[in-house]
Amino acid sequence: MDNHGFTLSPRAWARLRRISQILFFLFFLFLFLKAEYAGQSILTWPVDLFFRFDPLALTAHLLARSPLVKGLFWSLAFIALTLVLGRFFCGWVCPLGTALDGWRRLLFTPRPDAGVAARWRRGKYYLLFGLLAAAPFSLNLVGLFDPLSLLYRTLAIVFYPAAAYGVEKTSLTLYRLGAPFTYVSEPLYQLSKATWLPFRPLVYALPFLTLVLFALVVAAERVDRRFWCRALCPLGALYGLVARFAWLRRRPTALCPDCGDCTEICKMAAFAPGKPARHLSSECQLCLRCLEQCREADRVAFTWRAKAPRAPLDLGRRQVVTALAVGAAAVPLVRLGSLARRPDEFLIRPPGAQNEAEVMSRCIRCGQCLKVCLTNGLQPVLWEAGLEGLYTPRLLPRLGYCEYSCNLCGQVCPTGAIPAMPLDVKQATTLGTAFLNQSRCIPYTEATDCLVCEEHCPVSPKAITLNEQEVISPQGERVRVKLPVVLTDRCIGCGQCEYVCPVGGAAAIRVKKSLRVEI
Amino acid sequence: MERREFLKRVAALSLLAGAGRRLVMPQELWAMAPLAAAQPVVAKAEGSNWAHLVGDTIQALGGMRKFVNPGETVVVKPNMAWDRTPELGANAHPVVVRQVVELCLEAGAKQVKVLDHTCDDARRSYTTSGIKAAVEDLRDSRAVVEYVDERRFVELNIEKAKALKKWYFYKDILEADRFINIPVAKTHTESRLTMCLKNMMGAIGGWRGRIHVGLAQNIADMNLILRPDLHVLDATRIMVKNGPKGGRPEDVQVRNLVAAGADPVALDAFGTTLFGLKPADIGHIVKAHDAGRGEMDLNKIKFV
Repeated sequence: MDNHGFTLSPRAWARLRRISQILFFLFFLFLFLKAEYAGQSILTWPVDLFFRFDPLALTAHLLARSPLVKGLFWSLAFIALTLVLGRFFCGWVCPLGTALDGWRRLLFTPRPDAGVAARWRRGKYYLLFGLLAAAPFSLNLVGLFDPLSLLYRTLAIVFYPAAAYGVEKTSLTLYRLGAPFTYVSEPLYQLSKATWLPFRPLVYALPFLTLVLFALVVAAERVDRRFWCRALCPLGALYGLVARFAWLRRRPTALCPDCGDCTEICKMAAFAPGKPARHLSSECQLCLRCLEQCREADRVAFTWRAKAPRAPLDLGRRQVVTALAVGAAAVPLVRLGSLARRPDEFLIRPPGAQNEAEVMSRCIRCGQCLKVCLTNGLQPVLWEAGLEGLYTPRLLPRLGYCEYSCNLCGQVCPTGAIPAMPLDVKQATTLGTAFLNQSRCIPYTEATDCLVCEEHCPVSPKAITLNEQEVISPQGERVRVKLPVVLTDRCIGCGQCEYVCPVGGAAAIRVKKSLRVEI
Repeated sequence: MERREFLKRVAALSLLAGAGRRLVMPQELWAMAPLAAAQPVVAKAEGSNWAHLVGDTIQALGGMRKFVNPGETVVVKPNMAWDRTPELGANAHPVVVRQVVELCLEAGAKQVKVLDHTCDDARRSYTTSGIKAAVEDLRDSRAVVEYVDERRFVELNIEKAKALKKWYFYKDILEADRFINIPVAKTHTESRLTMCLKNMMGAIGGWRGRIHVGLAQNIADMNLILRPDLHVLDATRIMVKNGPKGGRPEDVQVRNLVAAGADPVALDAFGTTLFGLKPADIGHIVKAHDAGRGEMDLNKIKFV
């Protein structure tokens, strides 16, 4: 560092960076855990904080001309900081970057980079341009590639439920074994329960797809360090475009002719090809390893006053135009499928997200709503909403219903795809309509009372009521039976009836897209 | 220590521990006291101070010390199954529950556990019902509000059952020295009314929706295993429409009444009169009476 008041040694700076990485990662996990109902209807922690500081989400949101969400504008602070410091976010903050560094150290033996990422470096810019070119046409897919979304939803869908399952099963086994084991296992289990375990075991759709996609990102670390960040990450690309003009620059501004070790030390291979190999501030994530490991004293420094010309960012006009064109062309292509026009009849969206076009153009697929959902009913979509619906949320009432007095998903959604609604508005919001299948419903088929659906219906007066009728039972007797019926004008489609229906397999009462919901 | 040696020792220790457990602590079947049918006595009190009503009825029955001895563990099972506020009448009133817990503590109980296997989300139901806060407000470490732990449901055979031969019951309730039931009087579309007998649905596990076919007999059968020492029927306000979940103040009538007793059938029989019904109108009251769980003839019930 340019020592003006700073007296930290290079080693200390590098250590500071590692501490920052770990702290931000832990903070990310902490906010992840805090996205859960804990006795208060309003969440106490700003659990979507990382996404408020995500300029990629903001850019796509603005391009898609979605209603402004104030919280997203915090990301301008990070853009401003990047203009001063460079891609500090990637090296010091990004929890996915930290996770990748961690996985690499855990799984792979250190080896020289294969150099693939350096050749694909421009890929991330093309991906960014393609994604942003589609956004004005309301095709907003940045969430699929946003590193924060990628990490959050992988945590939510795979790692968190899996870790919890492991602990639950282990504790159950020891619990069944009994006395001497439980002396140790039970306090540990209760401690986990109080600190990080979910209230009840969670299950999500698409665990394998999600795991494989994440595993690919991790596996790429074996080819090149930070492969994802160098070659694919659209958020990194966005920061890179800004970091080109960063005030803080590395000195020397090119690879030293007498050494060249930095090509191996640098995780990002942030040196342009050619001689002199200029340092690329658009690639440098300020990990400060070069500062730490330079054999010469006072040779490498980061300074505000470097005057040397910057390496050009040559993305190639043709390629940029192609990327933009592909992004724009993807819009009709993605929507050619029939599901995009007429989504699955059982595709029930979270409260307030009933307008498909709006959900699609706003959702950044972060998975916070899945995590926070009180009943585990919100699940990721595969293709039920057309190709562009991947990882958007849906309610699967057989797994969990929409709790009448809960609006947590609206509270955590960073982009307003699920609007933050006051409880009374949310309670009057219709998600769908319950339909009875009389060929499966117990009172209709067996001529005996059941009415569990009616019992649980949360609206008052109930949307499920009954007709008491004399019917001929399957045994040929005349019996009086209470036959449930749905009053569609009262039903809000919360799905609690479907959740509790005692009929095995598909429930005898199911929520479908409402007759009154536009599709 | 070598890894191999370590593993050997762990294995040996585990074997020893397992064997020791078998010898020292045999698995036993739980039997809930008292097996004999309780006296058909119903104590009732009316008034606007609901906490006093609880004290008055239990005093009329001979005081809490008749039901809870010093040093005993008590499970209190109020109806707090629904994510509804106290004034909506879907759950037992927090004032009533708190008073019962307080009386148990005064009687010298070692521990008082308050729990219910809820229908809505447990966290929301415990909170919204106001019961969690009310009991924790006693600030007594002996009084705990606990969520149901799914691992603690044990499958039991119900010997004299006519329909529900086998079901899952909550271990803490079976093991507790004393068990106190605090239902709230409500309508229920299938069983028509829900009070003492039906409230035992919150003490069982399994897929409870499944036993709503033939519900009346199933309720009677589960009450053969679950035999609370004391029932406190909360009729401070009763739900007369849209039961058992309700949701509007107009579904609820304020009655300022609490009834208590050891005979659930007698209490439920009395409870039917609050709704203008007769004991014989309610299937599970008849079935429980037939099973010898108590007295349903209003003329044979002694009111104090």
